[in-house]
Amino acid sequence: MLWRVCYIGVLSLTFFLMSCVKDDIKRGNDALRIGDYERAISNFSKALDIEPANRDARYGLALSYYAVAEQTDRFKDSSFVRWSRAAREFKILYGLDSSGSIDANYSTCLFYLARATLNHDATANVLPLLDKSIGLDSLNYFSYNLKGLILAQSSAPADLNTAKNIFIHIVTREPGFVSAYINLGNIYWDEGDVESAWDTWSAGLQKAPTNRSLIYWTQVAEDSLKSMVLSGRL
Amino acid sequence: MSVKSEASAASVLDKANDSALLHQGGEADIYELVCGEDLFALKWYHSGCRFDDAVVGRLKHLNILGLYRVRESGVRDNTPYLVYDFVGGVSSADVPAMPVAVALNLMRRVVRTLDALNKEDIHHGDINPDNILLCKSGDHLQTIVIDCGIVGPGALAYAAPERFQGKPASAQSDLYSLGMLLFRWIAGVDLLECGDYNKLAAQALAIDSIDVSSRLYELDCCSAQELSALEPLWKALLRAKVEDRAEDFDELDELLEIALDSIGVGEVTAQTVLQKFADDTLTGKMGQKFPTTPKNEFPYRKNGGENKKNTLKIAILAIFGLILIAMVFVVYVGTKSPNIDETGNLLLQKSRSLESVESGIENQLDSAPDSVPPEMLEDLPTPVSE
Repeated sequence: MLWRVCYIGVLSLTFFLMSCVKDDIKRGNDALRIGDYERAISNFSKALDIEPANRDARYGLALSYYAVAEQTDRFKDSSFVRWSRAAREFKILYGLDSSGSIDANYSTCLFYLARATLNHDATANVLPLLDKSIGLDSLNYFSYNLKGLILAQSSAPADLNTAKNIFIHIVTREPGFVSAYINLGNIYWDEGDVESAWDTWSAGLQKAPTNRSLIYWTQVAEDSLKSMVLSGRL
Repeated sequence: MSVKSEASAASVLDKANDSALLHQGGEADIYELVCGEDLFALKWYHSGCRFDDAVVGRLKHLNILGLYRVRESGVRDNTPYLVYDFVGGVSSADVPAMPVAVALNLMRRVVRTLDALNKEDIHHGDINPDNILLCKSGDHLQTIVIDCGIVGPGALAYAAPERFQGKPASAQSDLYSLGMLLFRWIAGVDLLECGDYNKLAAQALAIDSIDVSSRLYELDCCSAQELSALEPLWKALLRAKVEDRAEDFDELDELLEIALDSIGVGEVTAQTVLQKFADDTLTGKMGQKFPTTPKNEFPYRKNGGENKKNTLKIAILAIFGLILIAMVFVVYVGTKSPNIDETGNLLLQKSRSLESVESGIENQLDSAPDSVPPEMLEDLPTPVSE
């Protein structure tokens, strides 16, 4: 009889705790969706206190830190610590869920962390972070773009060539990613290949006719080409 | 030897809608079972008593004239039972002494039935007046043999000497019992009347020394001619040694025929005598079931009722269960909020919007496109949706 009572008691307690966890997750999710990130973090943390391996609670906490860090970025504040925290949560979450459902968000988080790391320390090597980000989500062209920009700063011809290939890869796969046209044109411009720079920028301008940077720099390259023709250098 | 339980799904016991106790015996009680239009007899064995399962199992597939039809056998409530077609007749134990011609005629019918049974290698084992029912069928009087497959010596006053020694029933033991039965029918009393087992066993062993004709003469129930006609029968039936008895039922039938012939009873006379006996003796009793208890008294628990109750309980529980599931579903659907994965996808969608790529570039107007860190990072296109 005592065993039965104990058994029912343990079962009831388990169901009670499970329902508590579910309530906390639901409350956290609702708070996250309306932008109340602090409350979301608080609720997801409560759920994790009861059940540390709860995947949904962990994902919710990671997304909450992600949202807080993203908000900090909008205010141009230093977000390195927040992105580090968000990335740490995603790392733990990845151990709980490697099904691929969180990979895109984790990849984006790593991009932001790389960017925040460079803001924090311009000499930091963030290429491993970006490679991991691209490894998690090969469609994350933001990480490709940043990697291309970093390599483009290198004086090594191989890195420069890799950067070019990266930008070409981006505009081929995602023609709407305007920044890649600009950055690829930059490399050609730096190399003195005005014609290729004009080709790239004008191609970008076709995709984004109202982009003021592309309008401006396409016009500069066009003027340079005219000047070169008139001077007989082309 | 074992008593096997039959599937109770289609059991007559469960289908019966009425029951009445007809007879309380030493071995079993007999109940009448009413199943709609059909009537059955239920033999409900007493504790420690049982039937020969092998014999009863074979009886269910036999259709022999003058033999009862066993419909079902098994164990219910730890009690062996037999169900057979109800016979609307009178036990031969309940009729007074019969005229010799009647007794011989009825005996011939019983012998034919036992002969057919013997050909199936089944021996009755308990021939006694209680197990021979007399029924009227039109103008004819029929005998119905019941209760085959007994375990044990059966009615002691009718048991052959070898049965007291634990030997199984045989055609010869049945022949001995028929001799005792014939005496009872003619005399109206048993030849061996002592109820003590050992004394009966001793008397059975000494049956050769009993002058049956003298006993009949003393009882004044036969004429001299009849006594003379019966004498060969006693010599062929009531013998202690098996080998001294008639060889088989055919031989007995012949002896019975000779006896009938000796007393001057031919086929036509026999029918007349039988009909007169039936009219005089059985008319009042035929079809009477002599219930000793009020109806609707079942000796067993009926499964059908329990099943119906259980089915009703299950149906009610199922309905409540479905209502509960429906309520849980309504509550779940009504209060369902987007899950965390949907929120994650929403955040990703906002972050990956390509509009941010352009907006990020637009801030670059005042700086050359080739400007790089620290300016590069400030102007770097990000997934942020402004």
